[in-house]
Amino acid sequence: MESDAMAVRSALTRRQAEITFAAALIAAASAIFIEARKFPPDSAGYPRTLAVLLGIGALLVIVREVRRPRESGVQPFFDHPIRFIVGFGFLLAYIVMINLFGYLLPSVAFAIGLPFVLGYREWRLLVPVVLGTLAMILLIFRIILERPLPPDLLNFLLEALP
Amino acid sequence: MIEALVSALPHVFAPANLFAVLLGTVAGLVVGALPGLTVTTGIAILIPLTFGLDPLFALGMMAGMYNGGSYGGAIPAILMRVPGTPASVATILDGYEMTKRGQAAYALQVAVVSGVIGSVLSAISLILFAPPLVKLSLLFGPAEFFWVAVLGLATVSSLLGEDLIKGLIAALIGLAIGTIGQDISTGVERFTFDLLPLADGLDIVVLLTGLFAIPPVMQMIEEALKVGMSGDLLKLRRQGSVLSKWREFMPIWLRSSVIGIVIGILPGAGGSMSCFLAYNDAKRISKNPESFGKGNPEGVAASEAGNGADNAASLIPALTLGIPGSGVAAVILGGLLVHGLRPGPQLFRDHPDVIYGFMLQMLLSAFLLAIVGGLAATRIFGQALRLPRIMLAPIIMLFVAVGVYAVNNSMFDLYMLLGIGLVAYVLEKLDYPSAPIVLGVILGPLAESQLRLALTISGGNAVAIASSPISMILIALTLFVLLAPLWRAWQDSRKAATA
Repeated sequence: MESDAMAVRSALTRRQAEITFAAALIAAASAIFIEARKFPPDSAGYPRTLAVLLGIGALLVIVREVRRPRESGVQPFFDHPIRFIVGFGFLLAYIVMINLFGYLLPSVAFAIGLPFVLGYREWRLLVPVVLGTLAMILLIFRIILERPLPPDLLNFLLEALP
Repeated sequence: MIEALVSALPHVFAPANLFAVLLGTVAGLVVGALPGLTVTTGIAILIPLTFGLDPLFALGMMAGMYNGGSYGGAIPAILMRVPGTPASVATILDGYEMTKRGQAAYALQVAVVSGVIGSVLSAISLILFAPPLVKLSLLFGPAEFFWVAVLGLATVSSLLGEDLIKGLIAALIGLAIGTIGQDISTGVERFTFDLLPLADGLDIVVLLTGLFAIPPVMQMIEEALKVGMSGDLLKLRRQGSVLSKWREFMPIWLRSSVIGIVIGILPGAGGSMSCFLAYNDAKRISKNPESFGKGNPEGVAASEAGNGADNAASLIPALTLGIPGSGVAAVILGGLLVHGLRPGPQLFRDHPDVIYGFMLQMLLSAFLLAIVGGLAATRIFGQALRLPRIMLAPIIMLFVAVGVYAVNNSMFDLYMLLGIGLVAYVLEKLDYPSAPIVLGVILGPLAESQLRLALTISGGNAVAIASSPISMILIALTLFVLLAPLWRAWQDSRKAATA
């Protein structure tokens, strides 16, 4: 895993990330400019001006990065790229699972699973804290504030709450 | 003003609102104490959680979070040499040295008393200065409000980040996001891609939470720290009274508070700048400047008084003109809008109970800090510091997910949250400041509509929008703010070339 991390780390430097992101901004600015063609002139002028300024700003960042001495840009963009990918994957899966199964079960899986995958093994602390937090959220949101939770597989249990 | 304050008092001291301030102060203390979490993050998490509640309850929690979090950062700074928030960096210099000499409890006492004094004076300045400033803003027409919006964007984009271009790009990103939704002048839908949830623009709650709550979560995941703070550090015993030495500390408290208030009022400044300036000032006037950095309690006092004094003062331009004095104030500005409260004269005229109540809540939370920040309370609430950060990341996410969903009962918002959070994390890693994005979203539509209105009134004469004395002053200030960093950079490069 560490060698994978080294590989990804060396793949994306800070300089490359700066340039890539600025290029993405130019692409976004172009898209805004083109999309604004669909609007009447009164509504199109302002976003088009913003798009031009955004494009110029991003271009300045690229020029500055290209002109910067190469040694200053070799630092890696991510300190731990694998952890970032795992973390983002978990976050995405968490939201998708909420959509499919509701809030409770995915929350338990996410809050216990993520630290576990990242190497944390103190179950005696982790499990009570996660379950206690969820109980507190239910108490505050469901019972005190009567706010909605996503439709849940465990709705039959939630409805039994006072 | 007195009448409005008196009429707001019963609302502030209503049990629920009192509880909100207390809860916010405690939560702020914990959030501020946790390295990696800032007051801005805490307030961004609070906004969806308090959406739909009584505005004074929500604002009371924010007020408490602001003052509590401001002091909370001093706890790990003093005990662990880790700043809980960027604004507590100067506290490390003497605070940790005191801990090494076995004076941790005394250092914490100095920090909390100084923070309370700074926060109280700051809240008083807010109450005194905001109402007159809002009266001044009554002289503003559409053209002047357009320039106020431009000045706000210029100040925040140039001062909140170290890089002017990136600050301006961040502001432009915010302005572009602000164009999403229906154009109020023509009724045309812009950049909604036929998605109904975007018809009214990007939800400000989703944006704020994505920008400020997700990046620290991602950072904690990347760091994956599996141990928390040692419990031994929280075994604190009383070590003398700071108040018995008030004569020694008073000049520092007063000078540092004035520095914090002035820095707080200046749009875009604040936070770490005020605590460093206050620290340097205290060192400069000290009879023993060489003792600073070696465990001098006066260093802790100056840093924390300056830090606390910055808080409420940064809300003066935010509440009156819509220009926040700090990143936290920018998020609070977003929080006000979520509750349908737009800063400016209308806010003071239409919702005096809420706005004066909020100012009183800033004062109240400053006093509550004296209780909540005491040694016994620090021992209790500081237990949160013992939780490993790898565990905190998903816990924060549980609150964020449920809060954001509950705002509109919408899964779309959760997906947007993740998308915004990912971009915000990249922005943070690349040192693009996030606060100008919020400002862009808030001030952009205001600038666009006021500009159109001003042009309509002047019959399309563009020169007319810059011709009033107030407009000219605002334009001059904007140019000054934008050109000052360039001037400094040019001076530095000249110095470097001659050295």
